[in-house]
Amino acid sequence: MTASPPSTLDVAGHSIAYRVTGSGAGAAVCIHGFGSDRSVWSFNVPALAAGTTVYALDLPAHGQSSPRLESGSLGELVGVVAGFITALGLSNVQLVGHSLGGAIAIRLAAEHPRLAAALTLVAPAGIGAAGTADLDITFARDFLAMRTPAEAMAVLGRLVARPGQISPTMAADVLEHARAPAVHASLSTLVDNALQRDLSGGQLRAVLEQLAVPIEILWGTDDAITPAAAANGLPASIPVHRVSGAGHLVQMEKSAAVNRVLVAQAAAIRSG
Amino acid sequence: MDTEFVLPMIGVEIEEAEIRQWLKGVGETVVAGEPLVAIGTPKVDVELEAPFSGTLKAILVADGNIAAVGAPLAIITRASD
Repeated sequence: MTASPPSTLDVAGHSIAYRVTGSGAGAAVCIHGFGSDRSVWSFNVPALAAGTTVYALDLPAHGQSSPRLESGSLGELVGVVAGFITALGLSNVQLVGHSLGGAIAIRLAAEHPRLAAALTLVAPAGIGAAGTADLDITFARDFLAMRTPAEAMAVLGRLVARPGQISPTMAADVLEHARAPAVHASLSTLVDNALQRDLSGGQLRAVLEQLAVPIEILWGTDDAITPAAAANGLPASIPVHRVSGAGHLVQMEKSAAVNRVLVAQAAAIRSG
Repeated sequence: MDTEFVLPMIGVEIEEAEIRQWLKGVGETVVAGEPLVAIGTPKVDVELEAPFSGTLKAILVADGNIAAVGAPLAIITRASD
């Protein structure tokens, strides 16, 4: 596996940071969730990159990408990621999305079918059946309100099945990034628009069910942010792999279980 | 056959990890896919699965110690050999 140094790409005025790992025939684009960054895939990229070229990006206002957002809508993020894939000259990619990133992958596949060959969705936001809770918007509000390392540890602890799993280093890094004024302003618009308006009521359920590409869904049974019940009632053509003992960060908490699905789906795309 | 269980390449930019806690003791049976050891990385603590089934013969890196990626952590006597 070869990992290139982090790169940046200008996409519609956003400076998008990303990292390419591997040199395999297929391509996978990994999209993290709200308040996160591409390092959320760090336990998955080595396995996936054994046969696939993996592009892990930081969304605007996240990680090392530029902080500015215009509307903070789901559509804006979809446009940025679609522009990123197009600018790299890629098509027919495996879209790997977590939480908000999963929602971006669903909308992107619907709006730009040529770009997506398959979807691997980890605890995707916005797909709940009518009457189920899609995502805990209070988590996002509490994320915006955290001010001290102790508050950050408490908020981020809700992401995992066992709160002690989050390291103080990670909490301190996330807090420092989220408190930067330009980032915080953008994250606030994301919570109001992408999360609360565009995603917290199952808006993507019908979109997901109408996609023509292979889809695999992974979910931690103890997810307190996007409860796994949101996947109930999906058609049999969309398999849901429930991973016990894991929370919202299932791809970190139980990486081996997630990697089996990621790698199998990548191999299926390559064999075509 | 005795086989080394090495610290796998668990993450991009992760070159070492702290052994937090062995979840199996020497002499215990381990089953492929079962959590074997909890390790600490800069971001989160994660559990590593046993890559194959067998009996845990020896622990080479004890709780609280740091191991590099690729370092042998334990010796497992494989079940099928």
